[in-house]
Order: sequence, then structure tokens, then C-alpha cells
Amino acid sequence: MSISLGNNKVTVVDRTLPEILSKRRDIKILETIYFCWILKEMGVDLIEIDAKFLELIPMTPSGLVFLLRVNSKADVLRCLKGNVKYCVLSEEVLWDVETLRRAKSFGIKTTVEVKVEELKDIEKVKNLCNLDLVDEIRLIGMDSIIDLQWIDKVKNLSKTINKAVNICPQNMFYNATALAVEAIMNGINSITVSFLGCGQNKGFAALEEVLAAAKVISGGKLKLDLSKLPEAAEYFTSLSGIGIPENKPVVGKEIFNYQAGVHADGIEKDPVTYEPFDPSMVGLRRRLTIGKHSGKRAIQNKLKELGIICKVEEAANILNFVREKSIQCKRDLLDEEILDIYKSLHWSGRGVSSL
Amino acid sequence: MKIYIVDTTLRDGEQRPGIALRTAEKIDIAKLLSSLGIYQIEAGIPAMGGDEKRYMAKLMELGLKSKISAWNRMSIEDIKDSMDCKPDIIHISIPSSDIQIKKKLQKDRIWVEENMKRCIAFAKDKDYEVTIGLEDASRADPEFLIKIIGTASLMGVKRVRYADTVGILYRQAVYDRIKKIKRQFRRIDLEIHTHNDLGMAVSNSIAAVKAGATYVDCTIGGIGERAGNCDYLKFITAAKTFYGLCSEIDLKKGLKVQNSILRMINPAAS
Repeated sequence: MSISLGNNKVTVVDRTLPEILSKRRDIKILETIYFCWILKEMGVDLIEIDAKFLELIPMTPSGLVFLLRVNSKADVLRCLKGNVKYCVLSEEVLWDVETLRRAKSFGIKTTVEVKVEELKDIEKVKNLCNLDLVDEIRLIGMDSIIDLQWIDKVKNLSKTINKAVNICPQNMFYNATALAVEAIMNGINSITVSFLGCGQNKGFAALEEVLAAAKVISGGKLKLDLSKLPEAAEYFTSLSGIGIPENKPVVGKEIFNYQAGVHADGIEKDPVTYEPFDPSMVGLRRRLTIGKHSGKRAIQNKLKELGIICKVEEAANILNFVREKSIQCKRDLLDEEILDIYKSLHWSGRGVSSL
Repeated sequence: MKIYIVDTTLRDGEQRPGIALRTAEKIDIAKLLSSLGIYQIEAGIPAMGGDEKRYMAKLMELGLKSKISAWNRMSIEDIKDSMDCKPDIIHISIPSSDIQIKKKLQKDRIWVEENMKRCIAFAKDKDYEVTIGLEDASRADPEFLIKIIGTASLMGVKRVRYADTVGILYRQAVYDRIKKIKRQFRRIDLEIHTHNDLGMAVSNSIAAVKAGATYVDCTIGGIGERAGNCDYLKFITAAKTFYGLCSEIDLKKGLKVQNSILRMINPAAS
């Protein structure tokens, strides 16, 4: 149990692997295992896998806890062979008493995945057949739920059927991370997420967003090491072939770049003015970039970084040329280009300050 | 209930490092946004001077259907620059958290309130519609927010922007805070400005609408500082689904406009 928010101990299940590996032919076994270890180090308790994973890695590495997605009776035997103690089944399997009993007799903890779209669907779950044969219910979907009452309804359901309930929000309406965060902030003690929120039908709550949000909202009280997120992101890209957008929350490489005059000024005085958390919390670094929106002080700071001291008036003149070139190139400027502008003005015979 | 979209692609969106738009491109983007039926375009910061000021003045000559607003720091000089461009709305950003007031401005709350009064009076005297933005409201003392909204309201400001400047809110908190302000100032229109640092900008904007905000700040493609702002198309999709709002907005047209604008912003990526 890695996440502990007050009295609420939260189990985090990650379902990234079945989402990304099912479509791939060239599965990199070692990288897949490294990825699993990083997930564990970041706070994931259970790593969801499918039969394909067990075909490639028949004996699961010790020290990691896996949850197998069971699609057939044969998969229950795969659980046993692979030393997997947890499995997740689709709602239809609830009719298959034999499979449920078999899993139970082998001591495998079973979770059944039930689709919930609206608030009223939560109530219906308690009427499903053979619920007594499973250990946990996973509520998947919830895309259209906005009413905060859903938390109480889930807690009531858990009490009525006397089963643990796991929440796996889907992201059809861009609400999945918010739902998962809301769940763990309000006493729901088990969630299912995926790295980058990857998955079919616009995916799920993003693991990295939920963990970072929990850490930020709890005021840093949550002891969770997210500094390996960049490494996890690299493995994710290598395994899935999915690139990570530069501005992706929490893991985008450029999210802590800053440029605009008012922001650069604030960050130079104290980064807390314009940053939600220290970049090091997620293994990133802040970087001052120079371009169209830079201010005079940013020019001074950048030149200082490059070993040149210049006055504010000089920086103002350099800034005009920087903006012009940035607009012309439609991008930020490289350090060499800033130095070239400085030198061309300085050595033009006019001197920077005379411009 | 009607929701008014305030598009800030040309201000907060363009501020994202790596984006540098030409004047002609900014004009074209504003035309496209107006064709979508966007209520207000936050077009830029005239105090940047030079091209930015000339572009804003040129934009006003077009007489677009959308209202055009100019973003200002809490400074008379900045507001004068905006007035030179004759925008429809003067927006004044008021640093409202102690973090912003003490660490960035190196001032105190009294200075902020007095300076805000001077700036509002200056713009109001020239008959401008003035909106104020509570910068970093999510980390501000709620009592101080109430105080400055009260002061601004007495001076005739009719709309206040609640800015989650560093994107740290979650929807329960947004709902409670907006609701509290709305309860106290029933006649003030509230505008929500969210950032996507924790991946919840759209959810938070939806929660603000539920609590009574009627103006929502968006950018095309969600571009903006750090992890960006509330994504226009995503917000419209969610608002239609959850509340049946924004029914007049054509998503297909929105997608087409989004693609055109993103191509202009980053031709290499398209």
C-alpha cells in the first residue's frame, strides 16, 4: 500500500501493459520488466497483465505483484502456472460459475469488471448474479458522472455487497483523472489507472497525473517518489511506440520551460510564483528560453549565463532583434543565435548601448 | 444558462515557449475564432509594445463579431498602451495570493487593493468595460479575494476572473470556492481560468460552471504555459455532454478551425 492519505490506504492498479502490448509484435521483455519495477517504485501495487505477457514471461518476476486479465477458463490455469494471485474478469464471466469456483479453489483473488456509465448504474451493480463468488468489483467507465454523490453511492454499494470496490474511470469526456483524484481524496481505497492514460476509447485516468495530484493536494505529506517518471516515460515510449507530447501534464519534457516576461521575472525571484510544484519532484528541470515573449531581464539573465554582463538599456536593444528573429523563425532562439545578435551589435562599431 | 467562451489562445496560448506568431497570423487566428462564435478574444498584451500594439490596433479596425480584450498588468502605463489600441474590454490582472504579492511584487495586500482601485478608476473614467482577473486565486486567502471583489464591484466591475494560475485545483475545490463567491456576489459574473498542470483543466472548468461561473477561458488545442490551459474543443464536448450546454457550437467546424490554427502555430507538427 504505497499511497496513504490520512486514514485512507489506497491500492493503485496499473493497466498499461495490456493496453500497449496487445497490439505489438515486438515485445521487449527486459524493458517490460524494468518498466514494471519503476511502476512499483512509484507507488503501483498491482500490475495488470494479460495472457500474452505470460506467454513471453511464463514465470513472473518475484517482488512484483501481478493481476491477470482472465478471458477464459484456461487463463485461470495460467494464473497458477505464473504464480499470479490476482485476476480480473469481465462482467459476462459472472455467469460462468465453474470458472469463478475454480479460481476461488486455487486461492486466486478475483475482481469482476462492471461497466458503469451513469450514477444510477452504480445501484444496479448490487443485483448482479454470483457476486458472492468474487472478492472485488471494479467499476469501469463513469465517463458522464459529474455529481459528487457518486462517492457515497460507491461506498454504500461496497457496504451493501460487503466487497471491496475499485474505481477505473475512462476518459471519454476528459474527466478520468479528476474522478480518480476525487476517489482517493474521499476515502475510496482502490483505483485503476494507466501510464499517460493510454487505452482504448480515449483511455483512462493517467497514473502520473493522479499520483502528482495526490502529492500536491496533500501538501507534500504523501511520501511518494516520482523522480523516476522521465525514465518510466522513456520505457513507455520504447514499449508502445507512443511519443509523449512536450506539454503533457507531469511528464512533458517542456512543461517547466519559461519565457514570458512576467513569468520569467516571477520565477527568477522565486520559482514558486509560477510553478505548481518543484520540477525535481517529477524528475524534470526548469529552463529559461528566449524568444518573442522574453523581457529585458530575461535577456540580461541569459547573457549572464553565457558569461556576458549587460545593462538594462542594452538588453532592451538586444530584445528588439531577438523578437524579430524569433518571429521570423517561428521558434525560440538558440544560445548561439543570442550570442550572434549580441556580437553583431557589439562589434558593428555602434556598440550595443548606442543602438 | 448560457456559457460565454473567452478564448486566450492569442495571449496565454501564445505565451507558451516555442510559439512566435507573426502579425498576419494573429489576425487570421482572430478571424477564425470569431467565425466560431467565440464571445471574447483575449487578443494580447499591448504593453509589449511594437508589433503587438500595432497588431491589436489593426485587429480593432476589422470590427469582428467577437469582443476583443487586452490583458494588462496592474499598471496605468500598461492600460494606456491598451487604450491606444481601443479594445472592447480592458482586462486587469490582480496578483491576489501572498506568494504573488510578496515574492513577485514585493508589496503588501494594501498596496494591491489601492493600486487596483487606481487602475480600475483610470480605465472606467475613459468609459471602458473593465474586467479583473484574480491571478493565483487558488493559492490566495479567500477572505482577501472577497475583499477585493467587493471593492471592484463597488467601482462598477461586473465580471471577475478566478484564475487557477498554477493548475493545482481539483473539481471539488473549484466547485466550493466558486459557489462561495457566487453566493456572496450574486450580481457579479464569474469567469474561470484553469491550467492543466495536473490534467484536470477541463474537469475544473466544468465544475466551475456547475457552481455558477458563466464565462470560461479556453485555448485552441489547450496550448499555454507549462501543460497548457483548458482545451476549447474538449470543454465544449464535455459541456454538451454533461449539461447540454453550448449546443449552438458546431464541433465539426470547431475541429476544422482548431486544425487550421494549430497549423499556423506549429507548421512543422502538421
